Formats: sequence, C-alpha cells, structure tokens
Amino acid sequence: MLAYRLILPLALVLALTTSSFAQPGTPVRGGQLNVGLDIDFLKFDPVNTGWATVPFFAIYDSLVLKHPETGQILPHLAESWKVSPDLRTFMFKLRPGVKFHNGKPFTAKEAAWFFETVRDRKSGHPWAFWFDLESATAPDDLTLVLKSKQPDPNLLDHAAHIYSGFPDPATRQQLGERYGQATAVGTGPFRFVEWVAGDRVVVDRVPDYQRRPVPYPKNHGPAYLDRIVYRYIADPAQRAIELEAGKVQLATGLQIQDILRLRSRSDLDIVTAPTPNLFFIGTNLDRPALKDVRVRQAMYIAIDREAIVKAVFGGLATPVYGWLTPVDPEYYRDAEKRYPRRDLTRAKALLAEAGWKDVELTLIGYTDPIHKQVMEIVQEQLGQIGMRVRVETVDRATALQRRIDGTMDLWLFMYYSQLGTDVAPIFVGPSIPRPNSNRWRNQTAWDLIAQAAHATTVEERRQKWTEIQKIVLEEVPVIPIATQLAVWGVRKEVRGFVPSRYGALYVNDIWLAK
Amino acid sequence: VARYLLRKLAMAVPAIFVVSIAVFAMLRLAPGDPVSYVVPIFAPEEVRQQMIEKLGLHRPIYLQYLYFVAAVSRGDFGLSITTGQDALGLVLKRLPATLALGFTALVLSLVIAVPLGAIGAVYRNSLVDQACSLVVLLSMAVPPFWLGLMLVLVFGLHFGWLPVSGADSWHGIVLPAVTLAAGGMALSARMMRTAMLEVLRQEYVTTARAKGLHERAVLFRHAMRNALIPVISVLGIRLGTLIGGAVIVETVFAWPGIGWLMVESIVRRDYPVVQVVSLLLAVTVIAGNLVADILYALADPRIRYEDGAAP
Repeated sequence: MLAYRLILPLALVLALTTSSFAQPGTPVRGGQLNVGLDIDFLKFDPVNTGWATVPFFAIYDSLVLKHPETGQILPHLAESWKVSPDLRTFMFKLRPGVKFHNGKPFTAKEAAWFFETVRDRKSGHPWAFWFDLESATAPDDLTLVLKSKQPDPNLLDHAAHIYSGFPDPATRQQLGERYGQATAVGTGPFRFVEWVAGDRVVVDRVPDYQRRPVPYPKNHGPAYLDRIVYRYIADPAQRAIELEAGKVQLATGLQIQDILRLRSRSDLDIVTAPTPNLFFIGTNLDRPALKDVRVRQAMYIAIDREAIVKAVFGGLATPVYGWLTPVDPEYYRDAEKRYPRRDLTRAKALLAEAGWKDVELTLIGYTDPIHKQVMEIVQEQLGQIGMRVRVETVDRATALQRRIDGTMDLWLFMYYSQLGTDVAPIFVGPSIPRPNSNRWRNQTAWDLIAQAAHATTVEERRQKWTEIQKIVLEEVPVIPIATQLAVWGVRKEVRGFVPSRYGALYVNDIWLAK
Repeated sequence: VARYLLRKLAMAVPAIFVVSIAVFAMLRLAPGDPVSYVVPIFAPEEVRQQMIEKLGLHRPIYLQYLYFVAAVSRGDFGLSITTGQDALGLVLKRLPATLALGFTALVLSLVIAVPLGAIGAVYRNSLVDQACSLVVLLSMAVPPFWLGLMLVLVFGLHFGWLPVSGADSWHGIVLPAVTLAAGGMALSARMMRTAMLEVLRQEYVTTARAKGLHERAVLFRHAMRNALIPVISVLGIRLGTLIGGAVIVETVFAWPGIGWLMVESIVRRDYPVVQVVSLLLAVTVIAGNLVADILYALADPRIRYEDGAAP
C-alpha cells in the first residue's frame, strides 16, 4: 500500500504539466483515423440501446449541440428555436435540404416521429428525460414543436444529448429490432459501414454533408477524414501500445502508468478536459450496519480523496465532496467545507457513537485496474478507523445483478451525466432496487429533484439543487470520491481534435497532417 | 479403421451433450444476465420484461435447454444478443483466424521443441543440455499474457519490426504465434528429450552404432524417428488446447479469433455466442483426440486398430 505514496511526486509533476492542446495548420482532406476506445459498442440506435458510444456523434446529428469547451448550446439540425415563457413549448426551425444517408429527406416529420417514439416509456429509450414530453408535432416540413407536460429548463440540453440523434424512421421500422445492429442510418457527417462485434465500427465520410456555419464545429461542410475506424481495445495497456505504435491515432481510457510513459514521447500528446463524471461509493441502505448516518459520515471523513486522486489517477482527477461535480453549473461549492477533509479521530468517534460492531462490509467494483486500485485504498483507509472491508471485483453484469439483489454493502461506481437530474434515480426515489440500488428513501430529496427539473428560472433551479446537495451531505447516501478528467492520447498527425467536457467526440474538424 | 472412427464418433455425441448442458447451465447460473446488459438501468420494468420474454429467459432452465437443442437440431444456433447477428455465422467468421494462429503456433512449437529436446538428450547433463532446459523452463514458467506484452514492447514498439496487434498483415501472426507456442513448445521439448533418452538406450540403437553407421544416421534414422512417436501422438490433443489457450493470447494481441470473441461474449452474457464457441471447442478437442489416435498409428506401424479396442 505504499505504492500510492511513492507515485506522488510523479503524479504531481504530471498534474502540473497537463496542458491545453494546440493543433496548428491548414486542414487537408483524406485519410483514415483509427480511434482506440475503452468501451465496447452496443446497438447503434438512439431510440433503444443500453449505451451510446462515440460513433453516434459521427452517424447521427441532433437538433442542437453543446460546445465541447463552453457548454453553449449551438444550432445543428435546428437553425433556430423559440421557447415559451413557461418553458413548456419549444419551437424549432430546421435546416432545409438535410438528407439521411440513404438519400431520404430529413424534415420536421421525421424529427417529430423520433420524439413521439422516445416519449413512450416502452420505446426502450435509455434515459427518462423524454418521458415528460406531451407531444411532438410538425406543422410544416421545417417546423418542429415540442410540448412538455411540465416546465423543462433542461430540454435543450437533452436535445443535444448523444441519445437524441435522429435515425431514419423508415429504415428503423423496416429492420425492427435489428436496427442499429445490421445498419444505422442517420444524418451525420459519416455513414455507417460495418460493425465487427467486439472489435470495431467503421464509418465513411458523407460527401455532400452541409450544415450552417456555427462557432463549433468550424468545418460545416463534409468531414476532412475519408474514414474512421473506432476500435474497442479492452486492455488499457494494449490501447497505449497501439497508440505508441501508431495503430490508433487517438485513444482514451489510458492508465496512469501508461500516461507517464506516453508523455515522454515526442510523437504524441496527452490531452485532458474536465468532465461531469463522478467516482463514488454507493451504499446499500437496507443493510443494518449502514443505516446509522454516523457510520456513513465516519466513512465520508475517513477517506483521503486527495491520496486516491494522486495515486490512482495520477493527478488527472479532482477530489469531490458533494453529489455534483465542479463542472456542473449547480455544483454546491460549500460542500467542501461541510466536513473536514480527513479526520480519523472524529471518524472513530462517530463510529463509537453509532455503537459500531465489528461487521465486515463487502465492497464491489469492476475488474478494472482503476476500480481495483481505488477499492484497495478505500479498504486500507476504512481499516484505519476499524472498519473491515472485503473487496470483490466482478464484471459489469454481475455488479449490476448484485446491486439489484442487494448482495453487497458498498459499490464503487462511476457515472457520467451532464445533468444531476438524469442520474438521481440511481440513488433515490421510489423505484427500488432498479434503478435506485442505493435504496435511499428520502421523499424530500426526491421531491426537490423533481422541482429542480422543472424550475422555470436559473435561480430557482440552483436553489433547489443547493438544498438537495445539503441533504445529501447530511445523509451521506453516497460517498463521493473524485471526478476524473477525460484523458486522450493524441498522435501529432491528428489535428482539429477538441476534447469535450461532455463526453462528445465531434469529428468534423478532425484532419490528419501528411 | 472406419469402424473404429465411427465408434469414436458415436462416443463423441454424449460428450458434446454433456458439454452443452454444462455450459448452458453455468452461463445461466452465473450472476448477471444479458438483459441487464442490453436494457439500460433507467428503462421501465415493462421494457425489461419484454426483453426477458423475447430471449426466453422467463422459462425454466431445462425448458430453455430443450428449446436450444430443438433449435440446434434445425441448424439454428440463435442470434447474438448484443449484435443481432447469427451466432454461428459470427463464430465461423472468426474461426479461420484462430485456426491459423493455432496451426502456426503448433508448427512453430514443434520446429523449436524437437531439436531442442533431441539436442538436450544427445548432450545430456552437459552445459548445452542445461541451456536447453533453461529455455524450456522459462517458456513453461512465463505466463502468456506477460510474455505477449514483453514481445510487443520489444519487437513491436522498441524495434518496430512486427505489428503490435491485429491480423491486418501476414506478419501480424508472428508475435501471437510465438506467445501461444511457448508453453506447448516446452511440453513437447521435455517429452522429446525424455523419449530420445529412452530410445538412445535401446538395443537397436547400440546395434546400429555397432554396425558402424555414422552417428548422424543413428540419431536421425533410428533414434529420432522413434522418439517422435509420443510427441506426435499428443499433437491432436494439443491442437484442442492451443485453440482453447488462444483465449488469452487473442485478447492480448487483439487477434480477431474465437477466443477473443468468447471472452467478450462471456462478459456481455451473450449466451448464444458463448454456446456456439463452447460447442466448437468441445468438437475440436474430441476431433483432436481422434487425430492423435490416427497419428499414433501412422507414426508407429506396429500399432493397429484392433476390433473393439482403442490402439
């Protein structure tokens, strides 16, 4: 366990040298970009998939997009929009002349079909945010009207979401459940060519792609690249090796020990961006040992987040003390002051007050090097206040099953979301154990989340979220640890790449220097 | 021979059934299910139920198995749960890559093991023998995933001589084949050395020498030929283990074979694909054993297929 202490100096140097990324030059057309990813692909259907992966950004366009650095909502398929004062009616003017990859026109009718489909709870859409939509209509070919049952200040954010790209309704209906597996037809700058299961996805440039000039992406015409091959490379060490060897020119999900090596190379850069992801430990609140809030508070102040950030993430992360991350506009900054950073004496006292008995807790996480390392450090740190923790690493399916079955006390997890509202059901709410496998039954918090989701002013929303975060700080249903930076290894020949704070990978500006 | 082969094939059928039942049951009894994988956690319960029914997972396991057997008897191995592609087609598409890797590794291991074992035996207890033993020991002791990574770092990255992964070019097979061959090579080399030592003690070798035959002729014509029998006879069995062993090597080298597919499919709980790969592996091992029997007879003309008895 001394490993993380030994790595501190290196980590510090690394954190200090992480910099922004500049890629000069005049764009040239052509070439194949190979991207190494850390997550396998699943169905390429925005309506019904377990999770979306970055090829979605190449295949599909959404109504609006989010600037990868500023978060500003920008026109995309919608050229302009109007929002009613009560935040319930959204009227979008669509760009004329847009076509799907199969040549069929994209009009407001196709857009309305998408929203009418995903607002149905049975559609299989992975997120709940369209379920509150009342209607989607197309008064004419270029006008789309979305009406929400309640005020929806987040609608534009959701419209920019990776799960809000438009598939061709005709192809989707024709292929049924095979849509997104056999093929995927969108309006994006690249068309789907091939998906080799467990291996790669290939997309080719759409030659007649045209969008309105917007601040981002700068290139509003056809993409510069001829082809993109997205490869799923499960082993992070292998991903780093392939980046070094030039077999992939862009790679994510790199381990700290590889990053240290890659940094010394002159033919590639390490590029980072803050993202709203959160590494945390969830608690099974049905377990008697964890019911007493003082036990959870003791755990909260026994964990040394800064040590974890330095040891596991090599400084490429930030300690988090609240429910939301600093990237989130509603982040409650005073969360960091509620408890001491680390106070083992107080933690032990809290445990003593709670009458802590020598119970062994089971902490589960994925069979992933980062999960393993975080869990080992947590195990040691909780051990310092007399809590025995057994660490178990399992695969995704098993972890989810055990969360649902409740056969764990603690679970390490990383969620990624642009909005706290979207992921809140994992922790709180009536739907226990799925998705609320945390089993936190706090009606006040649940009501406040709903109110925040429909607040009509920024101030009101912020106030609600502040209240929610205060409750979370008192109740400690989850123990936040850190928010990890998005880290990309980028070979020098790759130009125009902008790491997104929001998990996007827009490819229209990317080109390859000869 | 035909009757013997038919008898062997008849014995293979129950073995394949046992494997299919074991794999089917283990997959379903393991924690986690494909529904949790493909249906998002936020999805309403009715969506989840729809998927459970679509995949037939609402039925008792024995009934699921009977449906599976009935479908397989019609040549229908099902569709991959995650990709929707025909499971058998998916596996068959990957099979050539695994076979190519397995055969290359097999040949490579023999090419190295036979001389290594023979030299060790001829120069037994000398420095040469000890050097051969050290190579064998290291090959046996080094885990394939570590050896693979080291080979990639040295020959792929440092020297840049060979591709670090994939099957995009013919020389992409070199590093995975060497990695896969290492363990088997060590086994064959040890076997060769032992057999050679045994043969060199035989009277016919002494007679050959007494007749004034050149030592090279004694070794190659008389000793090695007979010492090869046990090595060759386990080749068939090794083919099965090579294909099974490719699971790790294929993952390390992103080699697009069935081993890698198997790992990914297990993680995704893609039942139909795992079932097809498992059955295929079972068939390969059984076929390998059969091949071993035949090779054994070919290598030693004294061995004949007796009626009702294995050789």
